[in-house]
Amino acid sequence: MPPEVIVPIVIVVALIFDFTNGFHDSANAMATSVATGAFKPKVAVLLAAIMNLIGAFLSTEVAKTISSGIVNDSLVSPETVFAALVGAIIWNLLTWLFGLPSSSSHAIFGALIGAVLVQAGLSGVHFDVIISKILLPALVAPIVAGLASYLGTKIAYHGDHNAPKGAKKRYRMAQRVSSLLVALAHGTSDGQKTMGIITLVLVAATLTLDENNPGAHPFWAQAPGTAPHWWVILVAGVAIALGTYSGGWRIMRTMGKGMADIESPQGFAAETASMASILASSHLGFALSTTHVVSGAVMGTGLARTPGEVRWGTAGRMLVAWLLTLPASALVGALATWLAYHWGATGFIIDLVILVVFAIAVKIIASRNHVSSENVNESSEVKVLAKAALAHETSPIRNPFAPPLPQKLAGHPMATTPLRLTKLKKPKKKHRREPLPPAPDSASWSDGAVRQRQASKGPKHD
Amino acid sequence: MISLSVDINWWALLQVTVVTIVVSVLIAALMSLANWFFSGTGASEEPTATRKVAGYIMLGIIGLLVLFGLYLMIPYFHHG
Repeated sequence: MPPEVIVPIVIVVALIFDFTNGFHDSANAMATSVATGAFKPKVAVLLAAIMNLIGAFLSTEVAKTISSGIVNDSLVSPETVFAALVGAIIWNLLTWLFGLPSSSSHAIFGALIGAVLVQAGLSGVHFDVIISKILLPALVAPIVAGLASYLGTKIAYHGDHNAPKGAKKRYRMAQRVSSLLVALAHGTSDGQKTMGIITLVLVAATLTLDENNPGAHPFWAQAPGTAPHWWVILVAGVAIALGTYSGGWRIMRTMGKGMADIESPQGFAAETASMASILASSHLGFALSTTHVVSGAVMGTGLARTPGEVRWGTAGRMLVAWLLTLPASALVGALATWLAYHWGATGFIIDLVILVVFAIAVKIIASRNHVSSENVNESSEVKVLAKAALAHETSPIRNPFAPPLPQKLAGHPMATTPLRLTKLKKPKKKHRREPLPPAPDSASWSDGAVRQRQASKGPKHD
Repeated sequence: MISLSVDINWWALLQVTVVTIVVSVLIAALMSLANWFFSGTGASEEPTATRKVAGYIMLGIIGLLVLFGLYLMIPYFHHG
């Protein structure tokens, strides 16, 4: 496929991935703040989006390669990147549907591995790097952050001086600051990721263009080793910010309410531990996934205060998602590559159609049990296929015309149930039968009334 | 043929673990101390002026740590 065609397609798909990355990871920074009420949900995602956008502009140290040595870099072509992006987006959407926080970086690495495996076989993949840069950090991140968060929470709940209203107010303020820092750190790392992907594609396409048509230099042409174009930084930053602003409420519910019920001091301890581990890992050369770090920190803080109330079922489902991220996205990436390589342009179109159909299907299924900024804190579960039996937990429907309830009934489940709608509706008119004529005596019944009834039924047809 | 010679930077891993735990515990302890200073003693619910100043110092140290975090996060500050 000519570069003029493939480059715009890959850029658009990369920006879609960036968007999914944003809404998938907005919970990392804001879930605990939303759960404890430190920020109102919409304010939280707005601030997280702004911090992500700022973060995307803070650094120009874009990774020269998106693969980080996991695969043979010389094998990475625009087609490979496209297939990897398709695989990563599909996995991100699927885990979002189930409200499972999983690493977007692992998703794209997995899909890239699958794509290279189809292209070059086992020799194209560096399995030793996968162990040291993906599997081990995935194991270490939740443990380190969880331990730090556990100790921080124990200290925060030690003594009576942390209980008064003033103390809680300070914890809430500190939690806001730490959440914003996590959002900023996320913007600097994940915003850069998409810029790196687009830059890599532009460099690869420019090299191909130079071979076929020397001297042609479209505006997107880029030499190897150069910084990304300003418009790449801009669109990548905006895409991740928009994704973050769209919320990712399903994952936010799991992180904020699904694993443990948390209070402001716990949120502060969890966010501080996350921030410390993200900064330490990025500066000491042992990169940890933000998603794994925050998930571990929330578990740690839950264990420190109310160990009996940690929801291990949710934690188990999350662990399964982490384990499946690499192989599942690799499988989708491999399939997408196979289609793109063996079927050419048709395979590309099939890949795109699969992506669009999958996204629409996920959206439709998700709308059955809608989670939004209005009901994110109303339940700890993210339902997928089950019908919203407890409608007050998941339905965003509110009757705007319902009269206010008495204060003592405000917390009652029926107060928010869509069933209240029916109370305002006018009762349907029942079909009223014409009353039979009175039958005061047997004669009138036998003669007049019967004749009248027969006449009303219409003529008899013998 | 797959060759597996895994090179894990255990020293970096140890450093990350220690730094994360120490910083988290330090900030939580400073916050807890600040709250202790801001809380009243004995019968009085209002803290004395000295305790208030000490409380603000603790919050100030946390603020400095936050600024250090920002310094680490923004490459312009520490990369020539």
